[in-house]
Amino acid sequence: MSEEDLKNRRERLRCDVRDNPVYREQYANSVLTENVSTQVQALRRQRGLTQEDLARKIGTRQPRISNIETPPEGDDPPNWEVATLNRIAHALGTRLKITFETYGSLVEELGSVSSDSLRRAEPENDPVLSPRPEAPGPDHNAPERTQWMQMLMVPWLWEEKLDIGRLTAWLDGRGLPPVGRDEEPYHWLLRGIAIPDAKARDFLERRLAERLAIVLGEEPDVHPLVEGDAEEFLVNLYWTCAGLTRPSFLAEQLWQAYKRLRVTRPSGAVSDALQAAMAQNQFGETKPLKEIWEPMIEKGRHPWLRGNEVVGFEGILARHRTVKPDIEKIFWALGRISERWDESRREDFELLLARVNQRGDVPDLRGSIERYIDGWSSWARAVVVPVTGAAMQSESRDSCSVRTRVDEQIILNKELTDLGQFATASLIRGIAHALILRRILRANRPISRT
Amino acid sequence: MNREIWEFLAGGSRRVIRTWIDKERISARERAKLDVSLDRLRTLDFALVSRKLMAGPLRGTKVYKLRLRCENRELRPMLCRGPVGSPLDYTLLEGAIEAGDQLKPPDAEQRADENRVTLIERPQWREIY
Repeated sequence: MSEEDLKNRRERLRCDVRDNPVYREQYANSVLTENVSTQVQALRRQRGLTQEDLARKIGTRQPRISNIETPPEGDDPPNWEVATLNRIAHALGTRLKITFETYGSLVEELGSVSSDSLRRAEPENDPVLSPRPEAPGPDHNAPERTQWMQMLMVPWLWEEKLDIGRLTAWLDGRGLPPVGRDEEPYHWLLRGIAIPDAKARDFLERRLAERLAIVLGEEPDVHPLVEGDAEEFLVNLYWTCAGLTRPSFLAEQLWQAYKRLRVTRPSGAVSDALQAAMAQNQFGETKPLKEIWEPMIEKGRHPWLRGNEVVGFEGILARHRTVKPDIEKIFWALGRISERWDESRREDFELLLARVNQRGDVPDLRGSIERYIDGWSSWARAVVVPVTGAAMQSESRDSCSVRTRVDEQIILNKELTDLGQFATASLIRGIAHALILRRILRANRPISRT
Repeated sequence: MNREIWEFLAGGSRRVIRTWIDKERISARERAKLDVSLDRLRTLDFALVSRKLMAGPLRGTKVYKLRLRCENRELRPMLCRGPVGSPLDYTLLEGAIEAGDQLKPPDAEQRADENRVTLIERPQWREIY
């Protein structure tokens, strides 16, 4: 809103509030309702909490939080209890402040409520309580262009202000290091936060995820945010999300995007990027398990995403690691795949098995296999014994999802993307997709067979 | 992130929402609710307002409707994002009231969609609300 428009709007509001008691009381009620409900939602998102998380913290159920964030129509002002709001305030690391104000303050406050103004620092980052550390420097061992990108991105993410204009430009390929067109914008966005300090990197990832969630929330799949290639923008947006494991920020918006794109059916490049982003950022116990990963396992395909059994398996594995440990589901998937495949795909099956325990997240692997193996095809059962002995080495965990070796990962990812696009055999494409997921998200070691 | 709220000018001159407010005798209480909703649309991210204040996009269109339950009727002014200039802005396209799943006027969604198409062809047919 321009200064002139704001001035005009203020003048109209001033007259209405001064001259019309009914108007001013209703306006004040609606402002109260909107301010409280929106700030709860904004702070919850800033903290990276789902409605379920917040409900758990204050000892209630998710619908209660949903009702506070989205009061029933006509319930104005809602019948909120101060005690409940106070519990929410503490759970969000803030205090509740209730004051009585003049009606004239409605005019002064006009235009002042924004997504930035609703945010509040957590106690540990409160600049009044403790001085804020300086933004970390770039990774001096990284290539010069990567350092250049980090010097752009780190200060931007360190700021409190949620400015998505720059992010939109970067996703559109503008303002990136001068490297020509040999790499995608999402490569640079992921490199831009891959600094060595794990704690700072974790903070930067959260900040980037928060800003990506805002861009996702603008529904760029429906309303393009850039004048350039809207599809390229989406591909880069989703692949950047796929490079992070921040489901509390991203899962909900990605799921909404999936539901919209289910109708419009995007290109393969967009859907590949979206399914990778969703694999790494899942929410709830059954979404997207029931709608995406299980059908891929059961039918070897999805109504419109290009994934197959391998991608479905990756989705289930990622769910196990990030949403809900579910060893039974992993072995169910392997069993179903063993029924769909025959022995000619033994090597592919070995690859899947080797993926299971790379991060050491099935503590008693042999016991688990013995428990679930009964339903598997006989050829698959024969595969298990040698594989469990040799290939299932555990990897150490990393608290951050983007590693400092992101450059190598991205280059391999690009090669695999090309392989996925041009390979005619569905198997190769599926493996490529799965390896893309692995490579860009977590993997450390090169894969020998691609 | 500030956005503009525009209003479609039917025939290039008639402000559709101001006219609707007069014609439907929108009360002071209803207008206050409408104003607060529009103030929030101006200053908040789409994700913070979209599912709370709006429904849509309506089937087969890029039109949304504001959700305002007031007294004994529900105001459903129709709007869209853009559709010209900044993609972040909104344009109010048509006034509507809903009662018992019936819209008044009954073809409000269609009219709103048509107004959107007209606006794309004639971008000057709108003014700041």
